[in-house]
Amino acid sequence: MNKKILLLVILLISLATRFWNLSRYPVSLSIDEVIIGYDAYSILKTGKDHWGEPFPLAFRSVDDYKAPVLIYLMVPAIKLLGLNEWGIRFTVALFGALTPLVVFFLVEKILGSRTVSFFTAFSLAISPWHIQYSRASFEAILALFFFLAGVTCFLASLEKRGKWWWLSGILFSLSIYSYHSQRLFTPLFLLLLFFLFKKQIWQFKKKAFLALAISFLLLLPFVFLMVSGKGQSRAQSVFFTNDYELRVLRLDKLQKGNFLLAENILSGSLINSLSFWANRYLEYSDSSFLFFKGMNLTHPKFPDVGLMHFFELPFFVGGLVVLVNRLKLEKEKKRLVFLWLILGPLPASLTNNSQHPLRSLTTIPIPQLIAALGFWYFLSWLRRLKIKRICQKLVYLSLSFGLGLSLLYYFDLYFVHYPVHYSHYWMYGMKEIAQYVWKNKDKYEQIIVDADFGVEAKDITGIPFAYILTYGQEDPRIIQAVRQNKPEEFGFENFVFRSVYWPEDRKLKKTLLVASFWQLSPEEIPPEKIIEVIPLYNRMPMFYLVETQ
Amino acid sequence: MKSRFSFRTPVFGLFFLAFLLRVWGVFSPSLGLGRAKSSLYALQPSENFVACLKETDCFLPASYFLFRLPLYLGLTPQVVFYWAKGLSLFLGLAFLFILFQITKKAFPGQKILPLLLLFVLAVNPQFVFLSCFPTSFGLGLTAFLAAFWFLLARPLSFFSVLGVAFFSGLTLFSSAFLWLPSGLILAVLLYLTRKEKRHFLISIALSFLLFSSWLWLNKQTDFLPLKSSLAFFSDIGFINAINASRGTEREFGFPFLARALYNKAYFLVFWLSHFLGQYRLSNLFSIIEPSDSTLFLTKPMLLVFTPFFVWGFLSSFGLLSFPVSSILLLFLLLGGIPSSLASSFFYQLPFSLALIPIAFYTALGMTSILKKSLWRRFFYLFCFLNLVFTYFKIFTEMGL
Repeated sequence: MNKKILLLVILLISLATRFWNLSRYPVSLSIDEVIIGYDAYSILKTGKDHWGEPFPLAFRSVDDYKAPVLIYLMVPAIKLLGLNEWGIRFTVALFGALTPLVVFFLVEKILGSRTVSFFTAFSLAISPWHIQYSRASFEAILALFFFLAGVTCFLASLEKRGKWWWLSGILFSLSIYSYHSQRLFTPLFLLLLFFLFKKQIWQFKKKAFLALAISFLLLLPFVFLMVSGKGQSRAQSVFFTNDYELRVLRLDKLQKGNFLLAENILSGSLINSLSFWANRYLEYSDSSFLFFKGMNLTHPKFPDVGLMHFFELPFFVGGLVVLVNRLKLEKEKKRLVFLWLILGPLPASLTNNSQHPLRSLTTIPIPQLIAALGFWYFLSWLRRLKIKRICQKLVYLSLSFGLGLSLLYYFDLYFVHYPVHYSHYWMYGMKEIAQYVWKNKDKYEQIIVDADFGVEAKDITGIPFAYILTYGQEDPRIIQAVRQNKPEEFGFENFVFRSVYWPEDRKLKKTLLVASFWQLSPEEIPPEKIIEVIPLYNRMPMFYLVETQ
Repeated sequence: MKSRFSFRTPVFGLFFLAFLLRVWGVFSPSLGLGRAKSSLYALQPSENFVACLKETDCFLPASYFLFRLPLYLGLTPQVVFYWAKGLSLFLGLAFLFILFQITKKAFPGQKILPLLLLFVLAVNPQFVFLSCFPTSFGLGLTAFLAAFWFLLARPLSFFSVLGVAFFSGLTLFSSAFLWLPSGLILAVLLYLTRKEKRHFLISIALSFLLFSSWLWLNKQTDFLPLKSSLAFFSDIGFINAINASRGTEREFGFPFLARALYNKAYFLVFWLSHFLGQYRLSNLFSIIEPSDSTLFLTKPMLLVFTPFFVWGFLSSFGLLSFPVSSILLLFLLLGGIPSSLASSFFYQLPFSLALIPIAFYTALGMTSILKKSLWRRFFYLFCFLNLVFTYFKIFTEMGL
């Protein structure tokens, strides 16, 4: 089939799955989305982030020092579409939709098969793993795009005497600036490329040195950032040694008392840490995680979906078998596929979460490639079988039915069930709060907003100030001034952000209190004082807007 | 000049290593870990044995009879203690011997593969545990393999047929009865590949007869032991989840999809997820188990064997003939079905059957990867370290 038609099909599917109802699903802007969006708006208006730092390389954000690339790339979208859900989500959705096209060319370079490339790109275009994060402004999608484009350029240049290695260097550098996981993964992967293709690299060493020099210059500021501590804060907070389970283990050992030297060596914290990490790493190969419930769209034991569709499971296993036993491929490229599969989950395994789909995005597109290979091999085997055409058509029909059912099931889970189960983690209700308080701010001397809420406990801390800034399109200079002056009570205009305590706060005059039912229990508050109740997506009343005297 | 070292030397060496790793269990003051109820029942000299027949989780007369034999001869409980442990040790070593013989028979041209398999079985924690502590599964595993060994015997004789019947019976009346349907399916497949079908057929028919009589016995207790062993489908959590999903679909989505997507057929998906989840690498391989919440102190297999298992599994389809690789794959899948039906969490003891093909794949992977001397050196080092760390923890936790 014509290459352009194949690419167009993939692009249309990618765009449809990522842009359909983008402003409504996910059901609310997350904390990260809203703060990134507002920082991009602040850069657009003032050239500084909302803390007042001019064109930073690490955005302080909510003291987690976010990677800069997405925020800068978001500026044009916010300029054109405005500071709203579309403006904030458009950039990542676009790069996410373009990624399958890059994967098409990448797989073509690795395997040399247009059919398998198409299946791989198609698998990624409909992948729950990739769609989920493309729709919600996750930096990892951007980093993945740059990284895959860099690898594609590198492999394409092998046949062209290193022609575009300079571009690979730029793209790899951009990926490192885009997301934290890539800071570990990209250098390791580059070492891998060097190890596998050292002959060709040495053959065109001038081009290779040029690429290295460009990357070095681009990454020099990044090195200073890491050394300064701003770049390290995120890595330190998420490293697996901070994991709660591991800390409990260590505490347990300490409480047991003194040990013999042999015991200290043989069952000390090093061995425990190593064992813990090995367990975490191996969890990324769990079939339940990959094909049944890895995306955590619903509560445990509820129907869920994996990183890949359920119907891809047999083809994935088949693809692995084909890759090991049947596929005739240059040994460097075969090793590249295997080592990428092994290396992919490494950054994710070093963090303090188990089975984190976002952090293991670095594995893409290898699982899709393997499943596509298995599928292609199955189709070839089917064609070789001496069975009636009608039987073959029945098989194709069954496969199409399976695909259709999987997609229907996934989209149903994503658009219907996911918001019902987890709208609170997406800060649902904050937009409504922001819109209400802006509309009515002149009626009150102050509006006090409490950030804490939750469903089964008061265990979620939002950043309502960011939603109020965003939906009010507040001038960034105001919040920059607040950040500089550091008042005792954080707030701007007549908004104050602190904990609400009804027994005391009820005595305040002309004040609007905004908090969850944990702080403003409807049983304690006179009904006439409750101005508005804002529920979660599942209609559970969550936020109460209460006016005082 | 004849070589001073023959094939027998490493075989004896590995058996000796297996014996050393297991014999400590005889001297351990522990019967088994707290939840190994069958061990406790086996050694309690009381009328509990009768009560056991009515308890849903211990309708297991064969293993109790064997472990409690000295009691019936009027000997003291202390003797029973050492007898039960000694018998477990013997059964564990017999298990190794039988599997070694089966592998030699199935792969006559291979010398290294049976040796490597013997090594994997000798040092792997789960098989060591099964030999150290008297459990019904330990008895069942050896009996199950013995039945197969007799089934594969050439020429098949009346003696072999009796052996198949006897060991099938032992399996049937131990906790391993769950494995017999899998065993029957494998036996039928083997039957299809054999030339002399007559005696083979008699053996299978006899086993089937035993299985039917066991089913009839179970009918007397309204299949209570069987039902309690299929605990997965009693998990009310799944049913509630499906119903809740249907309600959500009706209220927030498309009512016609409620029944179409969320019906009882989804239970199969839950089961499939649980079934395949048993084989996940993080479940099977470890240096040491971080917590002692499972029955065993460690995962079933040593961490150092992980890459060999993965490589062995994937390359088996190229290295072995299609019938052999298919039967092995089927053994792997059938071996995991009983444990997946028994519980909604990873049930390590009943999963022991699936560990046999896993150990085989590991040995097969070793034959490919360890051809290079550099890999061998790394392997010896990591294997030694893994063994030291793992068994140090086990010995210290067991009070030795």
